[in-house]
Amino acid sequence: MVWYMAQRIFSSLVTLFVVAAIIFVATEVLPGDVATALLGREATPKRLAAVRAQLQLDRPAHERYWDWLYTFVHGDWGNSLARPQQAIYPLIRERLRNTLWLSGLAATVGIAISLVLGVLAGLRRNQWFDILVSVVSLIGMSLPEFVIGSLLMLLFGVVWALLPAVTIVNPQASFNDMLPSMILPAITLVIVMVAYILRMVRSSVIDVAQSEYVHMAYLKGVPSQRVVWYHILPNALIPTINAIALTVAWLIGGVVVVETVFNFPGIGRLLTSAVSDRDLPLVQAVGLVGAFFYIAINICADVATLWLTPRLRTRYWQVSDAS
Amino acid sequence: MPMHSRRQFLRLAATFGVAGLYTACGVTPAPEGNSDSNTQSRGTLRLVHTLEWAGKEVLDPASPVRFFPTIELLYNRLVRMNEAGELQPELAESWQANAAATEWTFTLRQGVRFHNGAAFTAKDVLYTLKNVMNPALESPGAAVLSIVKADEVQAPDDFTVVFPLSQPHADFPLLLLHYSMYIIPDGIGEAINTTGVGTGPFVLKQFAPEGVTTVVAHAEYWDGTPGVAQVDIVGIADSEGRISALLADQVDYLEDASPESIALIQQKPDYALINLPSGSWPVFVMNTTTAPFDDVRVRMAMKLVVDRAAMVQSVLGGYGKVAGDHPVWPGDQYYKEVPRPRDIAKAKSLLAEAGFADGLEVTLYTSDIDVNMIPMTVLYKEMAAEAGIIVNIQQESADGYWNDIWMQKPFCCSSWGERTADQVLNEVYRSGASWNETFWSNAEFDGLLDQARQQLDYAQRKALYQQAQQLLADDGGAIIPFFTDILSVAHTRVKNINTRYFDYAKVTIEA
Repeated sequence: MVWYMAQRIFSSLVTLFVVAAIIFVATEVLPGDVATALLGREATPKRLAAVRAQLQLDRPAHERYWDWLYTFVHGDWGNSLARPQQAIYPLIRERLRNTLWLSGLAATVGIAISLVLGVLAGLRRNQWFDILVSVVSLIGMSLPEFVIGSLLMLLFGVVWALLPAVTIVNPQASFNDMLPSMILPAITLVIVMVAYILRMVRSSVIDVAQSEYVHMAYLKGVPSQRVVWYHILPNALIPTINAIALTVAWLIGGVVVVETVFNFPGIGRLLTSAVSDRDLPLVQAVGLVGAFFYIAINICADVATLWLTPRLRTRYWQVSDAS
Repeated sequence: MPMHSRRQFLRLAATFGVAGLYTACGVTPAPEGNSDSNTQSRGTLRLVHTLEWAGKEVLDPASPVRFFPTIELLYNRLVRMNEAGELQPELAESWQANAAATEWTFTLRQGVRFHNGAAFTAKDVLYTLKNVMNPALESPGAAVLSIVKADEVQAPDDFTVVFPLSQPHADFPLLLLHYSMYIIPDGIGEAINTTGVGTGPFVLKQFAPEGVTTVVAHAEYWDGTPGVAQVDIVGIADSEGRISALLADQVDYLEDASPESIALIQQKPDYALINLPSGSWPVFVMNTTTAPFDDVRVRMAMKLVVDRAAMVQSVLGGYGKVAGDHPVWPGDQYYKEVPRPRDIAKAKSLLAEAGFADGLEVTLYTSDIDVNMIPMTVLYKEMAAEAGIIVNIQQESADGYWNDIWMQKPFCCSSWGERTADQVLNEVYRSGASWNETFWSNAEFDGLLDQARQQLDYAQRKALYQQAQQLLADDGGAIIPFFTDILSVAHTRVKNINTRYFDYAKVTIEA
């Protein structure tokens, strides 16, 4: 187990380095640089050169990359290029907090709903409830976030005026102040994510329900309540842990569109403005934070699966002992 | 990017004027009286801003990343514009030029106080100008006011300022309308960025460009108690989000609404559409030093194929005014109407004379950096085809457009905010100007501009500017099909917000 964890963490670090390099290259190939983005049409060659020298953009890309990497791993995330005198770390911390609130809310509600609906649909396979849930969730999954978001905004914000249509609070606001503005974006995220987990849960429940040991339990005369709770669910839910993890990891990045639509002051909106400003250090830092969460959540899911499944755990140990 | 928030050019940025006769020379306008000083401030007005600088906004009026919508509320300038387009006194009470129009003397209003209690004096005007001219700030105002000999500006007493100019300028007071010339207190330094201490109708309470910035009524405002007790300025970057916020009654007033959203708003009886003409203009730019555009006959043929009225209808939904290939807009005091009806036959014969009897093929670069560019490009292609001109459309990314395409490709789209005749003709069309996008160089044109600036007689000055416009329209490399209107939307409970140069201090809100 420890060896397995060490392996996973090492490969994650390698992944992070690769991600950092890819983000760097991607921002380099975009047309223009931070100097042209800053100056816009006021960019005369002389002013461009001055700004580039001031921001050290005139140095070769690989030198800048290694410099940045060196200081980044030493804990100094540097200053934003486009936002004068703004350190990156507090900026990201503030926005990340809001995004974690939003995606945490969406994940909690979304996972609960999809587990309940998925299990019920799986147990009532091909009955009207199953068909209804499948069709509705498929529709939710097929619509892009901005369509769902705009629709919800129109209905709940404009027509019925029950909730704020767009977020009008300061980025530093408390959870309670932020909560009303988080409801519509959270519902949007829930609608998009539910279908995926729900379908995994459903098919997993169906698989297990058809397995020999479940048939055996029924034949032995175990009450069906007990079969469901002790035999079907524990075995059906473990395979969905990875699906849940992937969805939660997606949430960290998937909020970009939703945050833009609802004017939510999270890390997604920070990223879009950083990209349009060619604010490389900020893009890099946000990208890496996103990648970090993605990898960390996946590791957690793998470990949880391993820990909850004696069969997998022992088999893994046998294999690794043999090798 | 700087050129594209059209709004800032509507009320403040440029130095405009329909009549502006007062500025001709040495005429002293009567000061405006303080009115309505016994009324009470009531209610909260909620405005929205576009987060143009993505949270980098500061309250220094001269900064390139100024937080414009809030700056309007906090500060005053020396002069202001009334609804007739005439220059009026604000913090200045009167002004006078010497006979050569090379030295302007301003007498300041007395008894005005800043939000921090300090009295407003000539020192503050000198400090504001020094701040604008500070090279480290890179203020957009520095170029506009470069005509002022900044080191020689004098304050003979507390309420007099003398501006010596490096060359005569009969319309100098118009330049002081520039948004960088909002007066800040002497010696405030960098603190101005977040404190916003001014003499204006509202006092800063909370500064949060990415959230809600709050200002409250300045009870001792010299020009009467403001009509509303508080103004919230909400940052919403997404244009759809701004419309939603308006329709959901989260904000009261939206400037520069997109034409697509107008239909949505017109169905709502609670909202009033405010349609105001402006001098913002998009343009097809021909590089006059590159073949085939180095031939004036080709340039004229390219201009004659455009059906301008049809373009106003299709591109702007009718919310615009036809233009005649020069950038001085119909609201400007020096505007010259140049009719340019579509004439395919003449275009064809001009092309034939120029050696393109069998037709001409050109590539037109465009981008969605301005909302009108792509629709007008597509229309232009259709219109030009009838004269045998094949236009290949090349769409480029908005990112880097000003750097990689504009002034690099021989035929491309560009767009500009409203400017006064003198400013736009000098900034964009004078030989060798850094923004001379058509690379047009015409000694006669440059001479007309020089003469106009020195001409103290209004009628003669006007005639000179008009000759320059005609020359540019006939010989220059700009195809300017129209000027756009600006569409704003306000909730009907908000009053006195529906004119072009409305004063936020006079806006009221009904309970």
